[in-house]
Parts: sequence; structure tokens; C-alpha cells
Amino acid sequence: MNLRQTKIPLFFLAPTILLITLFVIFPVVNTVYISFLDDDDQFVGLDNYAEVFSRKYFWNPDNLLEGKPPPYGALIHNGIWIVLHLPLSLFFGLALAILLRDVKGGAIIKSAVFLGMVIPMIVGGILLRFIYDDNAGILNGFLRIVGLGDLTRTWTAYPQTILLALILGTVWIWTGFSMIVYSAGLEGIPKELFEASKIDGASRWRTFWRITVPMLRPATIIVITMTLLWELKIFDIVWVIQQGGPGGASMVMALQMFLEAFLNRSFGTASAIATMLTVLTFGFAAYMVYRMVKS
Amino acid sequence: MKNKRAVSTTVWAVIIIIILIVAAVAVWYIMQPPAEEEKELTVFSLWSESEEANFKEALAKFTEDTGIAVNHVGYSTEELLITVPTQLEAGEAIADVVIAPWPSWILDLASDGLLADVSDYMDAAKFPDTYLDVVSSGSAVYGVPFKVSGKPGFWYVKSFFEDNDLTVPTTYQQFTNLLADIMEIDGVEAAIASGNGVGWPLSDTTEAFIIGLGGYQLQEDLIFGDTMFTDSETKDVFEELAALLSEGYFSVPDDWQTQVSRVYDGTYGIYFQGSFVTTIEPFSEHTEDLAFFPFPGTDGATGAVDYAIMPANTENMDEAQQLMEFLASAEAQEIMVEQGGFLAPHSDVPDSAYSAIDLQVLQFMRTVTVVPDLDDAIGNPFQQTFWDQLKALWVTPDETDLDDMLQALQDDWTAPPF
Repeated sequence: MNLRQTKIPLFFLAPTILLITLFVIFPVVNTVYISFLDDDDQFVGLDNYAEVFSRKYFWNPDNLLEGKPPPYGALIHNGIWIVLHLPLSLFFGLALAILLRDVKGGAIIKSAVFLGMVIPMIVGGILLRFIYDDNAGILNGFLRIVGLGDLTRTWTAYPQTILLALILGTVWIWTGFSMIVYSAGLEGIPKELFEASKIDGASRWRTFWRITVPMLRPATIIVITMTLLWELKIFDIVWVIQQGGPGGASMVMALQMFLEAFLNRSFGTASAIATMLTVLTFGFAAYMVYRMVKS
Repeated sequence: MKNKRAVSTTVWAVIIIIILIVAAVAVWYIMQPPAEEEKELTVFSLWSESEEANFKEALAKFTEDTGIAVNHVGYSTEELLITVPTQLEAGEAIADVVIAPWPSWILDLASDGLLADVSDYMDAAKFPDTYLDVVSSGSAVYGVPFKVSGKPGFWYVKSFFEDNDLTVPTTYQQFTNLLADIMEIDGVEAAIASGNGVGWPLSDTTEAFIIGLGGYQLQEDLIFGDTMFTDSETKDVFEELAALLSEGYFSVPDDWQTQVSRVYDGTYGIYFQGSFVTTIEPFSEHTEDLAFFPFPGTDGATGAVDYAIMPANTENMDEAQQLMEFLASAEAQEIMVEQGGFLAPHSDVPDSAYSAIDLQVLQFMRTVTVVPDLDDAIGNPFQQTFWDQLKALWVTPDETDLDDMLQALQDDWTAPPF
């Protein structure tokens, strides 16, 4: 490659590199730098990280180990979010995509399911608050109809139930995304493969596991990547429902970072949480991209 | 070929002419002297609906007197807490005047040099020291007390009490008996309504118990750190509160304004709130059927003061000063109290300006020691923790470890900046 061949691409890339450096790389590096400073801008090493981990709102595994209800701390809550929300979103998205593929009017039902993704998350949060309300909520209304009126309560008011209520509520919101990606993935599978398996006498179950699932691998990687990143960054829904409460039972990392920075004005600890969040999201994203490229 | 070249030359000529015309128009536009802009002040506050209507009436008087227009923007608690410091730290004073009820937050901003000293814009002798001390640093005062929400006690509907032969308690024993009696009434879900929101309705109720059971001095000692949250004196109060919660006397927290309707329709019996609750429907429509009783035996009460503060780098300094002077006047404060629901901190506002129910609140407040609101005085991170821990205590009193909870409060306590 001669000099001219090197310079021309660099010339055209320069504006993009400049903008990314200014608006992405510099803020990230600066955030990491601030995470090592105290409020007087003095270098304090890992003190901010230690401070964050000493707070029960961020790290409180004792309740989990003792089998008690939340709060477990923001970091563990994000982990629980991933463990429950990711498989459920994947399952319902795939199931709906397959079930609605050949159904007349399936597109209309898909559009209805996808509404959860279209509405702003803040609005989604307010909707969830009403759904779980003891007096006005559709969930409690349903429980009363089926004779389970004793179970009714405002599900987002209790530390025991709020985290699960939020996770299940956001499955509804996020399923639309995985359904759409899987629907597109299903369209990309050659019909000849299904016809050949039918001729060979394969059962529907075997066809699903041997053809559909492997052929949807790229779509699955995209859904997992995007869902993981969303779960790690979750903020608005939690904020609008109980601001991380009650008693920190629904606190998540992004919200804790926000409160540290803008309510407590403690930018060192906020940057420490932001740095941990960046490392986690970048780590997951890099791994999934690697898997996608490899596949 | 020749023809093609001619076309090309014409196209280029047209393009150049267009560019020249656009450039000439742009230069002409830039050279125009800026139009004389009419000055308009921006005020941020937490007020909406009737409170905003009250305030706009006062602002209209200011505009009438000075010709200076004022744009009012109502924010939620979280928005105001977060937006204003962020804007001021970024060097942008979007609001020329902000009205906020958090003394420690105000002094935090002042200590960073973000607020102007407003002591020259008011007559300090006309305001109680209690209200000024918490927003003062040395000789500088950073907030003009504009209005007060007295927290006199538990509000109730008189006809509900009469219909059910309930009597106002004067001792704590009578108070707990009253709660038990209310619970016996058909259709009542809980004796005491609990308001939700970001958490302040629960903290106000808790402070009534702190002052009522421990005395106003306990509230002051907790603010200044002379008594710890983990001390037995404090724990006794929280144990009593938790016992009442365990009995189911308090409702599950719900939107604080919605709870007003539920008290009025008899779903709940009584409701601890500030005097502003009389401006909320349906209370506002039936103030003659409304009354309050103080926490039995209390020697104190909190008064949440709304302070007008002025960013140090407001672009409209002269006009903002005029507005501050107006807000600090008895004239402006009289307009506010005439609309009902609030008390004026200015001593020159006559009793005749108040409605009958507000006058009762004012007279009660004169009989007790008025102390600062606990969480507003200490500020964050304590305030956020206090609100959040109370939300959990309210719904899980039996599962809450009070020692852990009080330790969490103590851990986040910091000395108030006044």
C-alpha cells in the first residue's frame, strides 16, 4: 500500500474520527479519570469504587444469601433482570414470531405486540404503574374475576414484589423487539429446507430444532446483544415507578449513577458506577459481536 | 459542442447569481441591528393547578406595576432538584428566579457561588428568624421566604366524624382509640390515609410522630446531630409508628392528591397534610366541612417554607431584583394567602387576609414552636434515603428491621450547612 492509498482513506475518515474522539472517546476516558478523583479533584485511587460497593443500595448480597426478599443492591438487581428478562423475552418473541407467521391477520397482532416498543419507556412505566395498581389495575381486576381477590395489592408498592413486577412488565415491552427480529429471521430461511424435511418425514418438533433454531442463530445473537445492553442500562421505567424503591428494592445501576451525579452531586462515585457499567456493557457487546462475526 | 458549452456557461452563471443573491441577503440580515427585545423573566417552581393560579395572580400584579413580563414554569420535585443545579453549574441561568422549599439544597448551591445574596431585597425584620436562619450563611441570606405550608396535624371531614360519633383526641391514648374506632366503621379501609409521590407525604407524617412523641427538640436535635437516629429516643418513636402500621391503621401509600378524595368519601378517616391540602378537590369545594386536629400533646410543628432564590449569573439582574423585592413584600404575600391554603411569612400580612380555615392553622402555629422540616433541612443523600426507607416501612412494618433502617438513616445524615 503506497502513501496515497493510506492518505485518501484517512482523509475521508478524519471528520468521523474527530467527532467520535470528541463526543465518545474523550467523555468515556474523562469519566474513567473522574472516577479516581474525590469532590476536591484529588486523586484517591479506587476509593470511589470501594465507596460504591460499601453502599447497600449498590451491593447487598446478604439478603439474597439468606433467602430474604429484595433489596439486594443495584448490581445484583441488574443481574436478576438479565437472568429473568432475557430468556423470557427471547422465548415469547420466538414463540409469537412462529405462531403468527402463517396466521391470517398476524401482522395486525404483531403490530399490537410491537406497540410496547414504540411507546416511550416513561409512558411504558406509567402504564405499568396503572396495570399493577390495587384499585385501578387490570392485573388485580383479573385476579378478582378469577376468584383470587385475596392476592390483590399494588404490586409496585412492596419490596417483595416490585422487582419481579417490573421485570415481567418489561417483558411485555421488549417482546415486540425480539418478535420482529425473529420474524425477519424466519423470512430469511429458504422454504426448500422445510419442504425437504417434510418429504424426509421429519416431525415439526425435529424441524424446529434442526432447521429453525440453527438458522435463526444470527437473529438470536442480535436479540441477545440488544436485550443485554438494554437490561444493563435500564433506567426510565424504574425511575418513573418508584425511583428505585421502596427501600432500594428496585434500584438499578443506571439509576444509582444518576442519583449520585445529579441528586447527591457526587461525581466521583457516579463516574465509578458509570465506568463499571461501561465495562460490563462493552464486555458483553464485544463478546456477542465476536460470536456474531464468528458465526 | 459549442451549444453544450454555452448551456454550461449559462447554468454556471445562474448558480453564481443565486449564490451572490443568497450571500447578499445573508449579509443584510446579519447587519441588521437586533430588535429591541422585551424583557421577560422566567421563574421555576413546584407549583401547578391552584398553587400556580395563585402565583400567577401575584405575578400579574408585578407585571402591572413594573411592565416586566414573567413566564412561570412548573416542575416536579425531581425535575427541580436535578435541573436547576445542573443548569447553574453549566453556567446557564435559564430561570431568573427559582422557588424551592429545600434550605440545605439552597445553601449547597450558595456555597458553590451559584446564588446571589438577596438580603438587600427584603426587610429581614419582617420575617421570623426560624425561616431565615436556615438559608443564611454569615451575613448573607440566599432565600426570600415567600410562603409557608403549615403542617398543623390530621385533617378530617367534620360530617364524617359527626355521623360516626367520633371525637377529636387530646391525648395519645385517645388518638389510638380513635384509630381503632375508625377502623370499625363500615366502608373504611384504613384509619389514616398515606400519600405517595417521591416520599415527602410519608416523611411529613413521620415528622409529626417525631415531634408529637419526642418533642420539637428531638426534631431539632436530629437535624443538627445532637441526637442520633440510632439512639433509643428516636427508636422509641419509630417503634410506635411501626406498631400502628402493623395494626393496619395506615393505608397503602397512593398518589397524595387522589387520597384527598378517598378521605372525603370516607374510605379513610384522617389525613396528615400541610395546609395546602385545603386547595385540593374535593376539600377545596367543602372547606366548611373540613377541620384538623394537631398531634395530641404536640409542642411543635413544621412549616415548609417556599423560598425565592436568584441565580448569581442571571442575565436580567435588574428585573430579577425587582421581582425578588416584590416577592418579599407583604403585598405579594397577601395575594398568595388570599387564594387559600398557605400562610405568609411576612409579619405585615394581616389576619383578615386569611380564610377561616387558614386562620385556624395560623393561630395553631402561633401556639407551638415551628421547626424546620427534617429532610429538607438535612438534604441529600439523607432525604432520598429517608423517603425510600419510609416507603418500605409503610408496606412492610413487620419485616423491616428498625435497627438497620435507622442505621441507614444515620449513615446518610450530614450536618446541615446552616
